[in-house]
Amino acid sequence: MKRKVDKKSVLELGKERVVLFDGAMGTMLFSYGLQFNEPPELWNLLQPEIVYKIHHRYAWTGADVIQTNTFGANGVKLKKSGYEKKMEEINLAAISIAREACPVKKYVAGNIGPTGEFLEPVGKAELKVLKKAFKEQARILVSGGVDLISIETMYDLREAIAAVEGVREVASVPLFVCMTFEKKPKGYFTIMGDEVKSSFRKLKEAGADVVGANCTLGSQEMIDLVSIMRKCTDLPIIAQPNAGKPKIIKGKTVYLQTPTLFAEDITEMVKSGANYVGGCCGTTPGFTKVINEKMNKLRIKKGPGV
Amino acid sequence: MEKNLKLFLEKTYNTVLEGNKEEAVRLAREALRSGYDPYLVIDKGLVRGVQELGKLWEEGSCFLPELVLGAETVKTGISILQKRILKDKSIKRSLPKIIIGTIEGDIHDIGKMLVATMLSANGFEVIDLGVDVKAEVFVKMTEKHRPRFLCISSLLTTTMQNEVKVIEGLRKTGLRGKIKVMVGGAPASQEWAKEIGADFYGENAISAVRITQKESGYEKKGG
Repeated sequence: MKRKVDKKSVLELGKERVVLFDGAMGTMLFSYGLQFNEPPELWNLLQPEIVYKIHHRYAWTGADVIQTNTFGANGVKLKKSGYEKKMEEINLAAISIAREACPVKKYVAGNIGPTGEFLEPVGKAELKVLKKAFKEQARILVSGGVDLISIETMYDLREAIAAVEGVREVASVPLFVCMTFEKKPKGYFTIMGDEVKSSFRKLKEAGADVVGANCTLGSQEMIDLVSIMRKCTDLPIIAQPNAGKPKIIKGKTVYLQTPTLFAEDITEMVKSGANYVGGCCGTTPGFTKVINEKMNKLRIKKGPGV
Repeated sequence: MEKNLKLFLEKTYNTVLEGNKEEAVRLAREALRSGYDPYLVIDKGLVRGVQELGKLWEEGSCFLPELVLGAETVKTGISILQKRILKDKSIKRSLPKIIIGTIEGDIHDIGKMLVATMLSANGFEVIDLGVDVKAEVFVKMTEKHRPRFLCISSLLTTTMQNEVKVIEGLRKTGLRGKIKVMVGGAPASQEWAKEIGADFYGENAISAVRITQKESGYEKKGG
């Protein structure tokens, strides 16, 4: 279902104030009983009411942008679980659930994650196959009426660029790209060795509107990375850290970081130049709520660096 | 050590750092033709190279592609040199066996593959059971192959619980005391290893090599 709403682009909004993205979807679905080996995106068809509930809670605790449950809904990844024929259905269902769950003035981001395949020399995936998969997913996301596309958790710049190019062949919507960087003694790098500055330059050339980082790092480390990212590009910056490193206590996965500490770190990221902030693994609507309260005090007229 | 051999070992070492598999094939054949001790070439050429790569990786000076290419270069070289070792009984030595796999319900391959590659590049005989391996299969294969180590990988907090079943299975079959169990993967930790009764937690491929080498009494000789 498409609704025509007159609202400014999320990029325009980002020039006026800091924009809040939602938090984790995957770890939330697990807490609702998602089984391992079950593609989380399948719940758009099997358990839409739970996906709805998660989106709804994020939207009502203050997220401006809700990301569809389509992180692994590209053809290459779905093929591994045997659901590639349901690709279109899964993506379209994800968009209607997100639209239904949040007020019209909020933004629905079509979420795209990596294929999970590795390119040479680590794996044998072919770049053109990956690019085609991203293009196909983006075509469906745009046909379903997303306000923006958010590419996340890219650990190989070549795949990230393939995703951006694939999207750009079919869509002119605002395009956000998050790489996932690890902290190494010599700085921040993807596992494939891509560093921040050249990655951001190439992503911009390929057509990204906003660049940044998500996952892997906790909020403390992300503060440091944001200040580095700010120096590496003139594009707006997005940061979505994890709620620390998960611990297993008595057979249960626990994220020890509290929403309050996380939100304090988020405000530091904003001071260091992040224009768009949100949470990755382990974050919940409880985190969004606290961040939103803190940000209400902090929201600035003009995002830095733009 | 004679000058030619020293130069040869240095070339072999550099080939690993460069990740040049074709060159490794050429050098391994040259080693056999020249009658160099294949163990020496593996030890002081190939393995020394992959250990240096491991160090560079830990300090963030090289990354997954270089590490994978380097480890594959070592494997390529070893596979050629091993043919001679297996033929020549006078230099036969048994390599400690290791069984490795990703736990049931988890199809993550890359970390496990890297650990397996690094272990075999460091001279272990590695039996890779693949991904989504049931606890019973780990136990059955341990019974069959009698490895020195059993390495279990998990990348999902939900599926890592299945590792408990492997340990229980080993206990029930009386195999637990005969092997060392190491767990690894993003959500694993020292505490997790302790909680489920595993012997070690391998933080990454390099520490997995370090632990298994130390435990096998296989220390690097100097020179």
